[in-house]
Amino acid sequence: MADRELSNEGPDRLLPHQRGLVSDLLDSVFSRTLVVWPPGSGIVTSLVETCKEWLNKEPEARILIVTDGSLLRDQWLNRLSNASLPFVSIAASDYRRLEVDTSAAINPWSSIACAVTTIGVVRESRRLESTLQAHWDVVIIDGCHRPGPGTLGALAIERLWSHSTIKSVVATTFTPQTLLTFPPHGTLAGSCRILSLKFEELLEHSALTVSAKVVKLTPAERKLLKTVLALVKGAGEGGVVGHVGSELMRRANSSLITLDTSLRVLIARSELRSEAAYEDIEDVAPDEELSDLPTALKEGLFGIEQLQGLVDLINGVEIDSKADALATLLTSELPSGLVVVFSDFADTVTYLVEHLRGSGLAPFALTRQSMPDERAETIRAIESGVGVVIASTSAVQGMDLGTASATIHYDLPRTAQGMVLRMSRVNRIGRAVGPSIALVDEVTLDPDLLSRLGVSLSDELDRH
Amino acid sequence: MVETRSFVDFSSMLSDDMDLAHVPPEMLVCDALALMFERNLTHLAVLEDGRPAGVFSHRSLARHLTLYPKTAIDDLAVVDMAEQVPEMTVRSAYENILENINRHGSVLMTSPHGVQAVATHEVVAKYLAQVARPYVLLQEIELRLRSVIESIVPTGDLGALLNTSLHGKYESMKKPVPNRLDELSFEDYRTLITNNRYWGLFAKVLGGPRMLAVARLERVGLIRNEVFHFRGTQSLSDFEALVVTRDWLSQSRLMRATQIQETPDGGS
Repeated sequence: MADRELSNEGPDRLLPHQRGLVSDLLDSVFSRTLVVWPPGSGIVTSLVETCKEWLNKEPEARILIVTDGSLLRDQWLNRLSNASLPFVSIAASDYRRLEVDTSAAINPWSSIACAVTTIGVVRESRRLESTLQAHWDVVIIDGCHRPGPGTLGALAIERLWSHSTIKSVVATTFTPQTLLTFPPHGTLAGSCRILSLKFEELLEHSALTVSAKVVKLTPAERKLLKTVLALVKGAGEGGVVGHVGSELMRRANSSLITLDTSLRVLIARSELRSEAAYEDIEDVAPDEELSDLPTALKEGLFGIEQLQGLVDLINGVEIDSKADALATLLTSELPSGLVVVFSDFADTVTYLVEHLRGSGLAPFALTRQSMPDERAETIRAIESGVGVVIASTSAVQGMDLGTASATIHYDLPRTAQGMVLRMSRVNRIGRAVGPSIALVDEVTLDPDLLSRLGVSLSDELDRH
Repeated sequence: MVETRSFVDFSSMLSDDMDLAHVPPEMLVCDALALMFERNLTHLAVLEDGRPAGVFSHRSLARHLTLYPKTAIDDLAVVDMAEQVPEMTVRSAYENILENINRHGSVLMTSPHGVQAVATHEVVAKYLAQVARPYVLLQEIELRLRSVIESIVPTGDLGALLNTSLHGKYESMKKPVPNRLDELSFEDYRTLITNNRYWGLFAKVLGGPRMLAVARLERVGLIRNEVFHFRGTQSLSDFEALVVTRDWLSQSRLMRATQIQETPDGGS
């Protein structure tokens, strides 16, 4: 059971490829390393172990970890803290205080030996200069592909990578595309190496097979979804409108509440047609965005009346067949153990938890909004390998859900990579996996999408 | 030893993505004004070799033109019109920073390593608006929930409804069930409205399946806990959930129902 536990730091618990990475990174011949590993291969676990080894060998070593955002920064900090490593978190406000507390002759970073910060903090010009001059032994850049080309973030990463006073830089990415844009072929090419783990190697040890169950709908649900479908088709298939349409479909495919929430947000936004209102929309978090909607709304491609009509149809729906099908699956069809239900939407997670409680189940919710005590309770359930966890895809990034005996995709991601992001949490290398089921409805079922995601469709309708 | 440092200092009031807007002393006033217009700025730090030489702002321009009304500004540089404002640090007591902003229009937030920001009323207002926003939304939601109940339940029936829905909870706390709406907690409103027995009443104005109402109000309850217990910060999706719930509670047919309730018997 040891390899099924949530926290698997420690050399004995590392898998062979992870041990290989630790050993490669401890080899000091190369000062610049780009690690291209697919999600789910345990890169953070391996890097935490490497930091431990570095600090064991050189207790005075100065290590800086740079992540893409505060959520990842906090996840790193948790993993480092679990491994009893003395890292501190530095946000922009912390850095301003550091600047005030140190004299001009002293680098503000000098009082900190090991830190986790974000690209957003170090990209600002003065902060970048002091970061470069802080004599780090090791800088780890997690997700070096994330800042767009030519942005301040990308520029900061490039300078950290090539700065001569930093002894060793390890940059990670999960997309081989990075190799085309990342600068390992610059002045440091001679002392640079690329460590790749092919996705196929990961697949060899995993079972990424998902089968779809088709849910039969009530007349009111069919009417709602067919209206969404007609609206989307009427709006055309290509460009901005097609994209917006597919987003609406995705939400319709997820749950009533997610569609209802999105429609109400759209109605509110389209009523606020000022430029300022559209600018605000740019700040939408990635997992919640309806990108390109401002353009579609500005151009009047979706009318408020049409959207309001959909809200009225939702109000007419009395039974949620898909949520009922989930309850049936959980109560009578799946083996006992831990079942993880994925959705891309936090609203859907909250809704399903409440719905399942009505069916006599006691599921745990995991979203980015989960409070610390709730999260801790959910993690305990995951560790014990028993229970039902309803999780948003973004909330489980970096987590090990290898104790799951089955997984259910309540809605489907739009790309194969999105599917890999989910399955990689469950299908850990070297561990057995249970059944994985996608719930789809008869109206919005898209055979092309299922094929892209590698989901096989069962012929029989699930009548309940 | 007890920590005496304030948990809220001015560093928390400066947003993480706030870049210092600064110009060299020799920049022409016209160019500086164009920059301010383009980037929607009201204040610019004037820096000479990284050291502060004042603040150029709409206020400093107005002050100069008031003192010297016949000045032609075409050839003037920002340093000619910059104001000297106090220099403080993010460690200074924020009450003192606010007082100085009130008195001078702005304060330069400095450190031994250089100027970090120009603190203005706008920075403070933005911070306070951000802090206050969830409270205001939650207040609206709670008042609207109260209004929904008032519009649906005849005053004479309220006591019985409250007793049926909340008896168990209050009995376990050994407290009497409240008999006035404004004595209820948010959880009480939620329990009452989503109670299986009474949902038929509320569904007439709220619409949709009961589970949708349950999930929406539960999400608000979670956010409310987070807000009132000062746990972390609210995400954009939290704000959207609050706004959507507020708007859901004030949708047109709900308003119509409220208006019907408010129309006196035999009204025209």
